[in-house]
Amino acid sequence: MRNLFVGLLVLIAAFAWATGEAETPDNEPVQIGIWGADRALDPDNEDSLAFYADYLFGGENVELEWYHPGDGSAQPVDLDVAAGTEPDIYFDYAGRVGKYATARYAAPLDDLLPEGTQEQFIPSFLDLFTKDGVLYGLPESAWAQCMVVNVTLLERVGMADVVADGEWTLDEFMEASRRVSELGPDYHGFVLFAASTAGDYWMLGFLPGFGAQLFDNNRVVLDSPEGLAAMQWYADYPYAMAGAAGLDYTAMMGEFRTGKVLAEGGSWGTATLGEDSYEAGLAEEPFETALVAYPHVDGVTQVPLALGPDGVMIFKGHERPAVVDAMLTLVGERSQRWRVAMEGRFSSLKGLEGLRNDEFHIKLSDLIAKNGVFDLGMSLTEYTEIRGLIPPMFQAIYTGEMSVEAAVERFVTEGNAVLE
Amino acid sequence: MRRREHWLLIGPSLALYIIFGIAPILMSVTGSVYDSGPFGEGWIGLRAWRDVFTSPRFWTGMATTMKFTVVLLPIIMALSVVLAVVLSWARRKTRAFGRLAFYVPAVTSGVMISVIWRWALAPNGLINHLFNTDILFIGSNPAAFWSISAMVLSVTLGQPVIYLMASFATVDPELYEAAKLDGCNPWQEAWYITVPGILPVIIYLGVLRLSGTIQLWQFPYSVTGGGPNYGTTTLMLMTYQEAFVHTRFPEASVMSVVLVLLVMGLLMLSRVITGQRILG
Repeated sequence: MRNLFVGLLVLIAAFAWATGEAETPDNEPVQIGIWGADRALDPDNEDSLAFYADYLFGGENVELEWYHPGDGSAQPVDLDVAAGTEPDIYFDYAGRVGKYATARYAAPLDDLLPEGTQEQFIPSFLDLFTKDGVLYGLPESAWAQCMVVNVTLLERVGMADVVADGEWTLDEFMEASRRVSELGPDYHGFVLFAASTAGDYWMLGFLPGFGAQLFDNNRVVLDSPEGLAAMQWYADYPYAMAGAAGLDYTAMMGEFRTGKVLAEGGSWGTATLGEDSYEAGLAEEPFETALVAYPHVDGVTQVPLALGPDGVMIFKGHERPAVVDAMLTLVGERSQRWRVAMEGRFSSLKGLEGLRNDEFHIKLSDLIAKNGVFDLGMSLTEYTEIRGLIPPMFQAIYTGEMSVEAAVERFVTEGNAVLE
Repeated sequence: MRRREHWLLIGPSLALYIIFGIAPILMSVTGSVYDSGPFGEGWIGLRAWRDVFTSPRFWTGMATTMKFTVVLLPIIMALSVVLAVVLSWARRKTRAFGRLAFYVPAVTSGVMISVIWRWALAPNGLINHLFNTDILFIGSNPAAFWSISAMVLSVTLGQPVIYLMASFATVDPELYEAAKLDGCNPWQEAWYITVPGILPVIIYLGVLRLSGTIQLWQFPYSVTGGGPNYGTTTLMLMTYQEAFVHTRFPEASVMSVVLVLLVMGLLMLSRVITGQRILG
């Protein structure tokens, strides 16, 4: 038995030695891990990745790897971290980059960046990647969240004019929902969903219309009167599809694409959604869509839009000069021009506004300029963990296991405990 | 056989067992008190243990795990025995078809099975469509619990049924002949001869299923996400979430150790209850 135990210890020591890391020479290729959810490239196509590497880096001295989206999309990254095989650079949306900063994986950047780098970025974007005064990541471009409305349905129920200016009241939305729902049992106003965190920003988009906030001054504040009113509305909205606690955002999108749902959460890129849905056989006839702000109650004059920026970080222990250069390339003008052009995103760099002149991009830009930005909490490095508390809150309400007040209180208490 | 040859024969298996079986357990133990790796904090003492044991969510996960175990284990074992007995009575072709039908889910990708179940159980899914109902199978409690249980049943019955049917051959045929002479019907034969004759196999399968049920996580992960309202969050799923969603590896290590201790404890209990009919 003693021999076996000694042998075991030797094996573990050998395993630890074999997996230990040696210092990487600077001329080694820079490894970049990219989460591939909303790229204009095809994550399943290695050629498109090579094209991206070539476009940005001339194909030299970099190795790009997709981390595929889907359920538990960050899982492969975490597995790499656990195995000590993480890439030099990680490129993802702000929330998950922040998660690695909270876990102390991200290298502080202040001393690594060339002088004047920070000044090139819009300050509010840069703030999203700063924790306790330390810059741990750099912002790339952002998507902007809005509501996509089936204008054809609105015309059918005689209310096309209510979204003409890109904004509508909650009363108008409720009336339109009611009329659409009366068209038949398969018709709904909006498909509410709460099965997972994926796409939750589309669900939460109703909050600012009530004047509610999720976060304020690094605290969870959904238990404000406005927040509770909004949550009560979620609980009472009668024109949604049944079973919100078990539905995810794909249900929302799938139902909207049948042409029988008044509105869904969306962002730029929906100009041909109605036509595409028809051609894909999802809708019985093509329909027109329009981008609008989420509805607002009387007294709330501005409905801010949520922005979802991507960002890059360097894993601690990987701070080679070549890695820093590659990171700057990833957030640089050439990269961001690509994403604005291909994906209709909004640049984090100063001076790149107005790159696109299509109707939808201009409309979103105008709404952002007019109504401002809603804080989804992505600036919090604990965002991922707090975000995980949101679906159970909605689920508790939709299953009737907790009152709105109790579910919100649990969320606020647990969320603030995470922040402390 | 000489001692050296002995080790040579079991060496490869032993090495794999140590590397992938024993070492991870030991590393979980050390990982629960020492935050290792390039980003770790180093020695953290019992902090992670305290955090886990004072978390109400941990105890909810523990309760859900035990609930699944208490509900599923007897159903799986009882149904397996009944199905195996009934299939053994069937004609040869029916028996072959039955074995195949029950075993196919056991060798099918769990992800594919999850996708199919999710599609079938959705509010606008196959089952509600077929029966013209509005049941919220995965959007309400306790329906989600029972839905997950049904999924587990569908994939776990195959293996014990096959094992049990194979074990019937080990029962002395003369006992059945004697029973027939005494006027026993088939159910009496099954209850008084077959079941006692294969009891060690039943207990062995029960132990395997016990360990499998305690480690349940795939269906809650891929179908309900542990919801609604934490209703299907098992201890194993929590362990995964701690490690790979919240990147709290020490807390995940604590939960892993608790799971190991739980399985070991229940195995020892079953050993005591069954009078050491297995494992020794």
